[in-house]
Amino acid sequence: MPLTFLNPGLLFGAAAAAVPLLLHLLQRRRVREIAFSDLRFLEEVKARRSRALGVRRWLLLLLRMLAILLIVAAAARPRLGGRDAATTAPAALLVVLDASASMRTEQDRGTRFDAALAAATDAVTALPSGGVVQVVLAGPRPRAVFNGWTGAGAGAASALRAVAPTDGAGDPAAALAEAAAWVAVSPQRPVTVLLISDLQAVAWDDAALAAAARALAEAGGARLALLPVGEPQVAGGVTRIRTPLRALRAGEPVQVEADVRVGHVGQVWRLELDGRLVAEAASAAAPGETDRLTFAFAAPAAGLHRGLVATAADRFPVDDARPFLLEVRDRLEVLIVHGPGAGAAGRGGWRYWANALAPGGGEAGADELYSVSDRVVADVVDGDLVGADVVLLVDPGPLGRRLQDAVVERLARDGGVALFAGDSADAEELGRTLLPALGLAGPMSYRAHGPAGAQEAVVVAPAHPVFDGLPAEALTTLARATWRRYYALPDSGCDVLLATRGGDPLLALARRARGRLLIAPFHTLPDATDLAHNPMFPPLARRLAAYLAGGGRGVADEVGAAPAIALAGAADGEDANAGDVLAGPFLLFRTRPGVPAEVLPARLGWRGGRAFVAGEPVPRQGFYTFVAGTDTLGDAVLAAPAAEGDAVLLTAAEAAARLAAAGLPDAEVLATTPDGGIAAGADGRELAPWLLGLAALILLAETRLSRRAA
Amino acid sequence: MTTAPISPAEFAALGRLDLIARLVVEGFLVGLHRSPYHGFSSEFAEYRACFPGEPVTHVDWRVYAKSDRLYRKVFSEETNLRATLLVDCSASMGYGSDAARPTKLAYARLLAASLARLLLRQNDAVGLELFDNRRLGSVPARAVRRQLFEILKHLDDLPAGRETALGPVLHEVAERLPRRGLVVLISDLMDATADVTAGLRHFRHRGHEVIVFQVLDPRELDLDFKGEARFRDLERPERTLRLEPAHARAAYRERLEAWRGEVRQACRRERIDLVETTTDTPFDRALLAYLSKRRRLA
Repeated sequence: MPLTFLNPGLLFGAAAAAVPLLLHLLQRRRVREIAFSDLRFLEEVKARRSRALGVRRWLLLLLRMLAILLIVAAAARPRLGGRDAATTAPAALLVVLDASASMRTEQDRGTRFDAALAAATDAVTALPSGGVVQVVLAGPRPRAVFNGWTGAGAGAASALRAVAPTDGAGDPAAALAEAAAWVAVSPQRPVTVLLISDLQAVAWDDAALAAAARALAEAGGARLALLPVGEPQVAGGVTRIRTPLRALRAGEPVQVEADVRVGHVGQVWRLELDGRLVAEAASAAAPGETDRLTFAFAAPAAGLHRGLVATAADRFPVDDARPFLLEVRDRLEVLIVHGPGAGAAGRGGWRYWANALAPGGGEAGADELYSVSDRVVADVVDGDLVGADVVLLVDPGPLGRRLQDAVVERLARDGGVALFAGDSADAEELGRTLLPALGLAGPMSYRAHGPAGAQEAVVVAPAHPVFDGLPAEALTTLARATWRRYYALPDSGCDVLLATRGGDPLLALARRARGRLLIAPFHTLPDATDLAHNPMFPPLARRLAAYLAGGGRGVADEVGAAPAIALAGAADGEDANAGDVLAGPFLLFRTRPGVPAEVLPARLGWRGGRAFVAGEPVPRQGFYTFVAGTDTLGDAVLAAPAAEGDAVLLTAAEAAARLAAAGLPDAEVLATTPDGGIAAGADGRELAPWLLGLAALILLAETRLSRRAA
Repeated sequence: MTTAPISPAEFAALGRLDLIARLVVEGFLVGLHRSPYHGFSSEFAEYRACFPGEPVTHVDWRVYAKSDRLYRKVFSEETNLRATLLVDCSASMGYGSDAARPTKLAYARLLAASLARLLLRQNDAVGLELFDNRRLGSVPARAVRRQLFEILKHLDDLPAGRETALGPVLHEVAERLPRRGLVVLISDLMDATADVTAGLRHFRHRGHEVIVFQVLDPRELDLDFKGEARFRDLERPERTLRLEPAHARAAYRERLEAWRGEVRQACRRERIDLVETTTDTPFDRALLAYLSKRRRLA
């Protein structure tokens, strides 16, 4: 069984064992002379003890030298049964370098990525002449550093030094799959895949690893080595920010919630808007635990505001400041799409909703939040849906394929749609066509009650954001509304806000991707319900509209995604300025305080009849501003994945076991040397603790022996 | 209020032997005013005021009856004791472990001078014998005032010492002392215990009372040296010994104590007063030992 050393350079320290010997010899030469009155007694004593003392002295010397040798040997970290990396240098080396945000965690000597880079450089320079190398960065999307397999040497090492970690998540499985593609085209065999990572536990997906293992096997196989570079660190950070789920108006009270991982007791967090401190909060949880902080403030002026929840920098700086956008609206465009009119008494239920949102037709006051317009379903074009913040489909009748697709597309992004299906003529058809298209169960079944059997309502979810801040009396008032005719929805997995006492949903909300859908299966006319005459009807209508309009773009994308914004008012070229805007060219600016803006390319695209501008996937969190010519089109925000701050790391043995379970057995576990290089194989039995224990025993024996000698 | 006695080192620093002897004796006698050893003679000398705490043995009650005051009678010496001071001047007595302390010989010299002065002050006849392995000088015992000068002169001119042979030289001195008296031997007794005992027995055989002051250096007792050292014998410089004192300390002390026990036992057997002293011990202790002996003789 071979004996290897992780730090063989330290074995030179064995020369220190000569120190006691030298001291002993030096002491013998430096004997001083003392005149003494009478040597009789000393001679007697010496004659009696000299032999024993001599033996004991040399024994002490031997023990001291042995203790030093053992300590030096332990410092060199010997392993029994480890493989020597130097003797197994590969002809082709593929380094999978973890470039996730967690690799930016600071340790005793630089960041984890610094350690990984030093080890990778060491591995590349240690390749024999003629060897080839490729490096795959394991960021949110794996990326090869070199265009192809390249010769190992100073050039490769130098190019390696230019790479940097991202603010995004790492995906070891995707990186191994990318590595498999490179292994397949390797000009030399055997190939060693060296995975250098902090082994953050959350990044390891066993199913994806199994797929990567299969890909590696199909690529001809490769020897896998594992080099952990992470030391567990507890650091505080922001993991999630929740902005209000409704459209905001300037001056109204706002509460922003932030989930934080606490770094130390009493940690203070601040919320900034557009670079100004707006609110502060202190966490009360213990270090390492998660806390939810609430920042309360008044909504700023209408516009899109750049927000930041931040704390003092620590060892993992990436999540110490999390960006978000807060949109404050000065006007919400509400489009009511209804069926063909049949006089004022015809399908006029939509008028109740229009009046509740904008009394007087929306023209009375300039400060009115809601601007309501209505279209008969036959007159609606795609752009109408795109331009509105909220679309109310009030007994629209058959939508037609094109409009139905537009509704589905709108919900797939961030639009809000309400469906009022209570007209007996078309409710059943909507339940049969539109609901299944939206992923909801249909059809709906009709319910009718006599005047005496009118159903009162029950507020099923009083804590829902729609009812946020309303007093209990208001909800009691709302519950007094009665229903005589409505359609019963099948159980469709929606959040039911309001239901009859019999349990049939009256207001049900569903999330579709980023869109919000409200289903109200009743007619608003008085012969179906007296809701429109309930004092709580106008507030309810407004709150529903604000919720469906959403809280702007407070929810950030994560690093690794491509920043994108939709172009408002540019649909189908109907907007007067659309032609100028779409002329481009489009640019994307990444801005950070105190740092010159980075200019990135952006491109125009169309989706669902709506124009959007998007950049390439970006590696850094922050605010991204889209510009076309001299026009600023809007902002996008990207934040680091919350899981990157997770402190749980796999041990090398655990990672090797997971790889083995995924189909990659015999992964060699390596370790770093104190100077940042790669030590010899670390998969043997660690002997250092035994040697240190033995040295301690010897020193104990030496102490006892020297005391006895004295 | 009590004051610490003047150390031998401080006395030695004064230099002049006559001055030192006077300081030692006067200081010692002042201290004796409160000691039980005062007044061993029978001839009245003077009255002194009696202070609280002093013994009432010599209070003159007649004077008290007349004057209502307490006076005690002080007596002067009237015996004619012959005392001979034997000072060992061998090379081993030249040992001093620390420059701040006197050597054993210097201590013996100061002690002898102080004893001579004290003896003469009591009108005793005092003589001096200096020796190493043979007699080096001698002052016959007399009680004249000039005798102190003679003794101090011999002590000032101490010759360089050689090897010790206490036994023969003690026999020789014992033969030469004409009358019975007090023999005071000041030596480290670094010789065969049997020879030393035989020599001292000779004095006893001839009717002398004997006090032995065994003077040793503190380092001779504890062997408190650091690090390995080569020891050189003062009496026979060609003899050396390489040793780690820390390793030998315990056994050395054990052996030395056994030797001192032998000496004590021999002295007890011959009814000889043995005063063990070191060169850092104040002279008062030695002088008190002498006075105790003198009182018994009186």
